[in-house]
Amino acid sequence: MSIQFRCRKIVGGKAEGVALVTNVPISFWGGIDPLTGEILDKESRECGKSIKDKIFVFPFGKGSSALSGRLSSMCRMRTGPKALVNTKLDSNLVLGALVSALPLVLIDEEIMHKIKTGDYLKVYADEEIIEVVGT
Amino acid sequence: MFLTSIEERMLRGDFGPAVQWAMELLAKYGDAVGAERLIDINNVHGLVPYPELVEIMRLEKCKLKVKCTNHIVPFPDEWKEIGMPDKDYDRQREFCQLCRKIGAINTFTCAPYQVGNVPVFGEHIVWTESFAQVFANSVIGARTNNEGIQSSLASALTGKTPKFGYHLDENRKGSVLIKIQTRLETPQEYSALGYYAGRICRSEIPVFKGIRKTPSIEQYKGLCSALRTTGSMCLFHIAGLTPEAKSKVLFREGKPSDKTSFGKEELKDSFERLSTASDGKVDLAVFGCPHASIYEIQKIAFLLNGRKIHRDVKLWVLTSNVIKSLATIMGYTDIIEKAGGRLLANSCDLMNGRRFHLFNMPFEHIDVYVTDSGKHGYYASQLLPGKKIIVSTTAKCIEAAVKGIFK
Repeated sequence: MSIQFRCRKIVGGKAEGVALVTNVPISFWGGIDPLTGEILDKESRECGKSIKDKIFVFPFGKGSSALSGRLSSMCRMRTGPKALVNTKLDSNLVLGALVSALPLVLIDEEIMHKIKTGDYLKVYADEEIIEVVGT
Repeated sequence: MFLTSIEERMLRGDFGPAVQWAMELLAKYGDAVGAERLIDINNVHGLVPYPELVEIMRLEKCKLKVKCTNHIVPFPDEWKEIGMPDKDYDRQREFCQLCRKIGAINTFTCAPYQVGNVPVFGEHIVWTESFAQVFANSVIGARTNNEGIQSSLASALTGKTPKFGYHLDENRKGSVLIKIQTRLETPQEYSALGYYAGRICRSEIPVFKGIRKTPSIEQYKGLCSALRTTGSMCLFHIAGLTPEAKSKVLFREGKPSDKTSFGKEELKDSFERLSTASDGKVDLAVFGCPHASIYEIQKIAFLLNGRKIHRDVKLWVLTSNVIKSLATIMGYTDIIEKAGGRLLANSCDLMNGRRFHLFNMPFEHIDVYVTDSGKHGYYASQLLPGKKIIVSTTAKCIEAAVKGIFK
């Protein structure tokens, strides 16, 4: 069984994979180890887990404006996520997603609460749909 | 997004491949964020030696269209003594030459307003560096979004940025009212307030009420830099003091969306969260985050004058090459070096995280790291896991560096 939710396309494309969900904003500089993708921010309950090859679900970025550069280097080193799902537009993250050709969509906060780490997600940014598979 | 005929020509490649790359990025960026058009700007901060951007800068006829200063880089002038390999420094030298050629100013700092890049009230600008964005928007009343290194280069090449976000009046109004119920004196106390407000407000714009005296530039620096470690906003207001809240504080909905207060308890709690220890034998003492101003260096020099830093402690002051030159002219570099400390120009010890040479000090040799910056302490605690981080006043950090122990 799967459930579909509406989302808003910011950067187009499609991706699927396992979700990593954190309900606090994350800094890509300082808050994530670029060499492994591991979350270092102790405020996140997913601290210690890696965003590499995940559908990374989080509210928006915080902290350093090196975000877009960091995200693009991580994607180049293949330690980056497959897609980004946010609740609020973050201009620096938009830039990082654009130059890394990562799908980026926005969802409502209440929908974010329904997605759990470990869920299998399909992101269809151009169709503005995300699908949670097998719940 | 609507493009003017000139912008269309930039997109077609009439002004060379670098400008074409820039306009392609800005058009996509504008579409993604929902901007209707581009606006003209003449102030950019934030070029860095990222490989994909250096490639653009090497393109034929690549010349910047507007004023642009360069961001902090991972290659300090003191590269030899911190054990950096020659090939890394060669990259830096090439980047410096490239910047000279295309028209960027080699400031290499996270505090551009200290080295001549000072926007005016209401000016639309394109700045990278989280602290500087908050400072420019809130303290000066200039207007920048949270830009990144790619948009900074694109805007510098075209003199354009998408009109959205903090460029628009309606997005500059306050949301969360924070009543200040304790006296704030030191820059570190202002940092504690920023740290707290960032955590509470997340992306919303805070309005501080109850600060009666205009903060000093050092106090503003503490507030702006710490606010953006925990928050993602580029703007705050202080009722009656900051330029856009001088006469009347405007809230987005006519009234605050939320209210909270910051008193003695919140101040204590924020300090406890910023530091991971309260005492210990000191290994590193780091000052100048964001980059030290000439007055901050003067203060450190006066505190160290005629004294010796403990032999087990390394003391570094982070700043730009411009301010370091002035410090040298003033004799401050000499005083600090005679005491056993050093000034590090253009860079930051945390820039490369765990991989950084940490001033020739092996990672495992560090136990206690003291700093007078809330922002530096916050990132150090993430980037140097397992290390004891202490955030305190400049005077107490200097005392600890001299005695070799923080008590």
